[in-house]
Amino acid sequence: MQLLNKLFQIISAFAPAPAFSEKQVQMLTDLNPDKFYIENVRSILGVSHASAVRICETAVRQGLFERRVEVKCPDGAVAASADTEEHLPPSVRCWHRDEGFLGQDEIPTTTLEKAVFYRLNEQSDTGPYRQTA
Amino acid sequence: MLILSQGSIDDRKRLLELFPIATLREVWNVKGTKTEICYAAAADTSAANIARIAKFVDDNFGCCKQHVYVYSHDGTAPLPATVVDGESVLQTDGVRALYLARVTYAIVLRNPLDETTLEFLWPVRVEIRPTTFIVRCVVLEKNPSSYFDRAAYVAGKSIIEKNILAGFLTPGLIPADINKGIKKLWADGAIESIRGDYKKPYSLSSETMDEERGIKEHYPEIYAIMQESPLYTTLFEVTGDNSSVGTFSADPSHGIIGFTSYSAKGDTDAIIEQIISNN
Repeated sequence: MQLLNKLFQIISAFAPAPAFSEKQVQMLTDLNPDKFYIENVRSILGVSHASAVRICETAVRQGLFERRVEVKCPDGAVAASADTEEHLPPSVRCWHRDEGFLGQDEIPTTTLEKAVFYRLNEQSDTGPYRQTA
Repeated sequence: MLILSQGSIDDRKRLLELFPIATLREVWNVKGTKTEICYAAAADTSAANIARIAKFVDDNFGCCKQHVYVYSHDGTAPLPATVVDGESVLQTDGVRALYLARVTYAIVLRNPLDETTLEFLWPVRVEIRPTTFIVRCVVLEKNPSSYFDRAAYVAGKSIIEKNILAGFLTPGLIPADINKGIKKLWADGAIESIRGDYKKPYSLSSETMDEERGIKEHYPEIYAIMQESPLYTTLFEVTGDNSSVGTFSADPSHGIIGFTSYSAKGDTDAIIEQIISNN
């Protein structure tokens, strides 16, 4: 429960936060520790998007989360991810529908949409969150 | 084989350019670039060389990007005598035939703007099994710029796959359902899907995995649902190091398979064979 306590401290720094409900604890437990988005955190905690961003970024600064970036193909499929945008591959393979078939394209990463996601820092002294459940 | 023997050197050269350089070298034993090898092989109009070109196309059909249409029949479907805008150039045991269709691309050139045409001999193969009728159409080059010294794009084609298929189809041919064959390969671990459409009782669902992860490996519960559902357009990776086919798409509920890249060793033949034999 060390991670829950740390997250609770982070949340409390922004606003008076109630104790986690049993449902919230379960939802946090079910969160995929390898990949989650700001919206996952926002919906579990019931806070605004801006608050969820602050919570996640604070967790990154405190070594609890790792911030990562993914690149999306024109159809929304995630093609690759890295710790920073600079470390994404220069181009990625994407797929398009063409007369009932799927055709592949090699597209420069710079031209594609990026999205931020987070994962639990395995080097954190809390260890993977799922092990606390 | 008039379409081959009376065609231009460029016709035959463009036909041979559909194949990997390594396989071209094995047959013609000519040194040089792919263009040089193809020109040398295309320039020889002797009957023996024309027959060699036809056999080469047939033998190495599995190397090409291609669209495959699988039909079911009651055992009476005949081998088509010809193909729209082309002819049969090779027959094997009355159950397999290679056709070449002449297709004309309308090309628009840029800087300066101009129009022209580009002709290809389009390889198509038909195979008849006791209950299966298989049409395989090579996917021709979609970017014509390599044939000109400036940017170009295709404005239209004289014939497309629908015309080819319409010329072959008889009332007894219906698109085959190849869900069983595809799912057997998936269950055996020979292939893994990285995206797919499937029909649930009240919705059409689609799963697209991040970073081309495998559905079976990462979402076994969704894999179980897909194994029980009709599959539509789905993308598969061929697992293991032995196959030169990296990925292929399939619409199993409509009997369609698409190979989107070259297969150096012609392994599309084996994939098709495994799907059909397990169906």
